[in-house]
Amino acid sequence: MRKYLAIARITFANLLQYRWDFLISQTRIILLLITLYFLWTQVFKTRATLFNFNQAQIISYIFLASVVRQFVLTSATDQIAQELQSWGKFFSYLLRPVGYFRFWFTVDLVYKITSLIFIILITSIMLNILNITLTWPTEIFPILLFIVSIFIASLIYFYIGILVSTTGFWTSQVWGLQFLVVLILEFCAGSFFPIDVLPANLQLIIKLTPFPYLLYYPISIFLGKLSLVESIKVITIAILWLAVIFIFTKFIWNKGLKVYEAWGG
Amino acid sequence: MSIVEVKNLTKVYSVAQKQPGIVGTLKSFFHRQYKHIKAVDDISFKINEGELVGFIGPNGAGKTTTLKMLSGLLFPTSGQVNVGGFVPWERKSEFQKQIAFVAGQKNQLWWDLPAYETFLLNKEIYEVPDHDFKERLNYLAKMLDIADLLNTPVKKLSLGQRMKAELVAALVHAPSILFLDEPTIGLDIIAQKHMHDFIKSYNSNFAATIILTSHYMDDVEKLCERVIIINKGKIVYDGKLARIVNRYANHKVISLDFEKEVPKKKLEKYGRVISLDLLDAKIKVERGKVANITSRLLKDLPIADLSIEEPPIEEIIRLIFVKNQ
Repeated sequence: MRKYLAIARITFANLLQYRWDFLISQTRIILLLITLYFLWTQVFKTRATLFNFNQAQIISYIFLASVVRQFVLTSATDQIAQELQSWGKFFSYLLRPVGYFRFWFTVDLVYKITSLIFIILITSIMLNILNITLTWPTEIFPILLFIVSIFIASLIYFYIGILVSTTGFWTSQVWGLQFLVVLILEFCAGSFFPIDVLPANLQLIIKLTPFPYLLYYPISIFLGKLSLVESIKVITIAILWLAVIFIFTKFIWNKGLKVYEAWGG
Repeated sequence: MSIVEVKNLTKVYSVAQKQPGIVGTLKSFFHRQYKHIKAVDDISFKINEGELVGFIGPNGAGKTTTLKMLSGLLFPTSGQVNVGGFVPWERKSEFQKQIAFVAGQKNQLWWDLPAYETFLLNKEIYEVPDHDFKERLNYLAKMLDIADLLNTPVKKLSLGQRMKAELVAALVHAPSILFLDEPTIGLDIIAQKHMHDFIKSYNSNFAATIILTSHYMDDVEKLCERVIIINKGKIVYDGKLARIVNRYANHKVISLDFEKEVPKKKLEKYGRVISLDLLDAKIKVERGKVANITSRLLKDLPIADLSIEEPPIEEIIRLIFVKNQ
């Protein structure tokens, strides 16, 4: 346990070195939130409900989505690609009694918690200024299932991040791929609007991917859009996705390690 | 007694081959051809506890590959290795706590943070007790003279300072077996000397077993009693450094100072003239004839000073490599 606390400590110290960089990157979400808020309030000026959402629900959705997004979709795993390119540092993990994935999950948690605290601060200020009250569940089970689904979503995203970074074993040009994956993933996960807004066919396709399990379903559980049975079904599928992605990532990772060995030197 | 045992160790790399140009790229994409390169070819040796052994050889001889297999970074193609009672590539944590691998061109320090932060991280990763950590850090910082640099961000350190900090980071867990890969690469003469002193004293103070590779004969001459010379994946020589000279050098060099100029022709009667510059000369003489020729020189020529030297080790080793081509 102390090992992981020490990893968390040094990660946080490192993060503080980049505090301005970090803060500036966080302002992006503020602008996005303001845009989405005014867009949806305009839309609801002429109607009461849209795709099964009323105004209060959709506003709750976008605020919740940005909070959850800052937790689930914040990750340090993109740095792994760079590390694989500078062998020295990667070396030192293989030599030390510490698991590489566990190390990075700890780093990830620090990033997630830091940005979560920041976004909660920002959103509570905005909610106050705009005088909005969020829709809260009346029962305890949606909250519990929400927390479980968030945890699973974080792990899914963690392994997706490693999978993308694993290309660093083969090429130094990972940035483009990382950018593309984030773009598609945010869209399909429901970062900016609930997937219900999209055409039915597209919805169907998106729901066959693991992406809606990152944000859309956890938030739906929280907003009471899903029954208890449906929620449990969704979580079960999320766990299956996690297993598939974990196994695939591990497989590709081991292939990458072989390539690394072949480099010699 | 022996802490490192290597038996018939072989490592073959499969390197994908590609012809130049777009056609070549497409060809290799669909039907890749591999070339098999034997980086390490059936080597065996033993190293005793507390020994300081130098691994020397030209680039691509297989030194680093061997070290990587000994430290568990690479799986061998075949053969057995036992280091401190463990099979390295199983990467058991008890094994990892016993060893350290320091490479001159690799770094594990956190670039933007003071080196001290990395030391603390390693303390916890290796589960070193507080008391031991403090004592060790004091010792290492004093030995390497970096006590006042511990709170400076690593990116602001010079290469020499950084290498020292890398060493400390690699040694906080008191490893008993050290693999040093080109530890002095890029260092200036003073930093090199510090590194030599440190390696020597670490070896004697902690009875640590140290295996180092280097391009610089200076490193090896200053530090190692025993050397393993490796070329094209095979061991060409394994033994005392001092004995290489006797075994491979069949000549000595006689240096002469004359009182008067001596023509080259006259000198050539005694041995092969390596250099002749006014009053200084060097001649190469067969080992067995040195005594005889020396006395003749002293009798025949106006000599002010004379000394007999062994040929430089570097030259002998080059001879060994050339012979094995």
